[in-house]
Amino acid sequence: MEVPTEAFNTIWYFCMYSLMAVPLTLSYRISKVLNFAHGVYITIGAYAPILVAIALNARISPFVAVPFAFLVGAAVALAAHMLVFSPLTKRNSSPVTLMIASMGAWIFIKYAFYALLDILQKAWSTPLFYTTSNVNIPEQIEVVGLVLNAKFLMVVGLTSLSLSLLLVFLTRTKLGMALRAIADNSDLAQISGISKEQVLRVTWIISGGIAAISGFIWSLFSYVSPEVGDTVILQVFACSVIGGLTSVPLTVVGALVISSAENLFILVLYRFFSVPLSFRPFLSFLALLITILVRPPAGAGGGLPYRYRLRQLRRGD
Amino acid sequence: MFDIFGFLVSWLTLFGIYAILSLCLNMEIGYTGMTNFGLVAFLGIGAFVTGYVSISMFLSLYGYNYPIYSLDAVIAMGQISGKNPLLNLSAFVASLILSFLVSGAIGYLITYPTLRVGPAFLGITILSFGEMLRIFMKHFEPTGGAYGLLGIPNPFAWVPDPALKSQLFMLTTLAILAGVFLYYRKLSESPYGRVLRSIREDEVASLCLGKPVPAVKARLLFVASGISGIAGSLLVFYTGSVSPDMFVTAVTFEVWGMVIVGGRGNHTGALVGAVLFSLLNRVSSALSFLFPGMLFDPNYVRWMLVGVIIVAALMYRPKGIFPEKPIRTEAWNIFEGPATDRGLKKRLLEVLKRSARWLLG
Repeated sequence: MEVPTEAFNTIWYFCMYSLMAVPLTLSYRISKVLNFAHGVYITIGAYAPILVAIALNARISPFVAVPFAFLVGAAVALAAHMLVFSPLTKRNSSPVTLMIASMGAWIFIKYAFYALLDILQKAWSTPLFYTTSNVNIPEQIEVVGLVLNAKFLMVVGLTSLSLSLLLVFLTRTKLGMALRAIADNSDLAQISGISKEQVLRVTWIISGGIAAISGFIWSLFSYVSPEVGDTVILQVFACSVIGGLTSVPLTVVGALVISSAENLFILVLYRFFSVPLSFRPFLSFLALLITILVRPPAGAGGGLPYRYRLRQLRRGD
Repeated sequence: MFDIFGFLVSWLTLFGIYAILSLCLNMEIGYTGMTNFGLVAFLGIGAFVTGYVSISMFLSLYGYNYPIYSLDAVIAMGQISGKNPLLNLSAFVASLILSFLVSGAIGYLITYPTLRVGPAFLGITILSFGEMLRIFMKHFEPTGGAYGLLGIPNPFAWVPDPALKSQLFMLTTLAILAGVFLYYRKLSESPYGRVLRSIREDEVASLCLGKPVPAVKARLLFVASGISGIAGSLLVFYTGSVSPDMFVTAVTFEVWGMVIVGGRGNHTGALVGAVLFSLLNRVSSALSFLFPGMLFDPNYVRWMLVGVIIVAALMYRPKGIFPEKPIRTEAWNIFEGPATDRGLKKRLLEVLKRSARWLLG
């Protein structure tokens, strides 16, 4: 049976976008930092297995590459938290200040990474600014008589595994419940004995790690450049805004909306209105604008819901 | 041989352009609390409007029928750009005005969806808008797509001496900067400026006091985006070319760095920040020009420094080098010093003192 490319792409993008956007939502909800440095974690996750494979001069197995990407992304996110966000929070900085600081962290990590790549490129004399993944995955595998695309199977498996582990962690373990407690009411949670600093560290490890895994998924299908994170940041923000920056399930729905808009809806537009296919990002931006207009995310990120105030008062927000 | 004077001229020109931008951002974030993470979009709009308007003015007046991005057009521009001083200057003025209007109108429109959401969503929306605009310009054929436009006529292309030409352009830029500075100064000390500060402090309270918060914000974004567009116009006349990749998000951060280091809510601070960052920009360019083949591009170090400076300033000096000061209204002056019959000399001294204070902040 021949699966159409568009359906295939939609599922692949859906998996990638959900793994990219869920950690952004999670970290915003718990730490109240809107992390603009998120795109860099994705880039680093895409590069980490490639760099280690070149350094070892071997094609590495995906079972090594994924945990390695997770660890590197988690380390970078944790470092950003310890060096930037945690000291600023201790100085009672406002959310806007934290947002600006995350921008500073973004630009620093991005260009530090550029410099690192430049040095490595000269040391190893291999082009690194435009490269492809070298993870050892067979083209096709046979499962109970069906010939399947191994990469695709791996992406779907990795996504469902990560998201279900996250779900189990957040709802069934004590630490996960502590995370949600801090997210809902930080003061009350701290009074009942939860260490906020510990929770924040765990949050950043998880979100940095998952973002890095999503970068690894990107590298399986496409070229890798230091701009990878920045090229998808618009779509990632759109997914998270559809989730109101607070709800993880809605963020996954947002990923579904954005991925089908970019792969299926654009085809409709192309057929009937001859809109060029390169105008995909506009659909994401449109989704962002529509969400902000129709369902303004109240409660998150401050602001004044001028038109919808009455409805929210009735709802009791 | 390293040309110190030329370096100074190029630095001051760049300073003028950056200072206009940082004053605009200071009005937006320092006075009104609008987190404009897409400043570069308005810069880019101004730049492309300028490129389009000036080149098509020249080509149509001389009767060429080339598309403005073609190689023929670039060659033709090279031949005709220095012939008619009046045309050069009128293209300059027309581009400035049109850049202001188009950027301002787009800035006004972008406020509509973001009126009801907080700074986080405003930031996301404008940042996405900037990125999207860049992608759009990359695929937009009438302005040359990813390659952009070349051969934009310098307003002083008719001056034979290149050094004098760049000095004249520098003076024009600084004059426009002075105008923008005085205008913003007046604006921020007017009652409207006080409304802006009240919105920054508490949006709900100022709405309850009867201030039309959405309208005030929209008007401010119109003016500030328009003036950012003028800065983009000057940038294009300075470099002589425009391409979508000049307007990456990192440029926005540089301007943010200026405002944060200088001091949010203080015009002098914004200027000082622009001095520091434009110097950093020029020095790193000069270094990469003087010492080619370094371990890595010094421009990376410059961007890293921008990030470090932003974070360090937020940590150790969150109010900036020049913290915000209360507005000195006439009422304050009367309240503090009873002006009973003083001699002419004393009054003159007072006037001098006040104007010095007004100029220096």
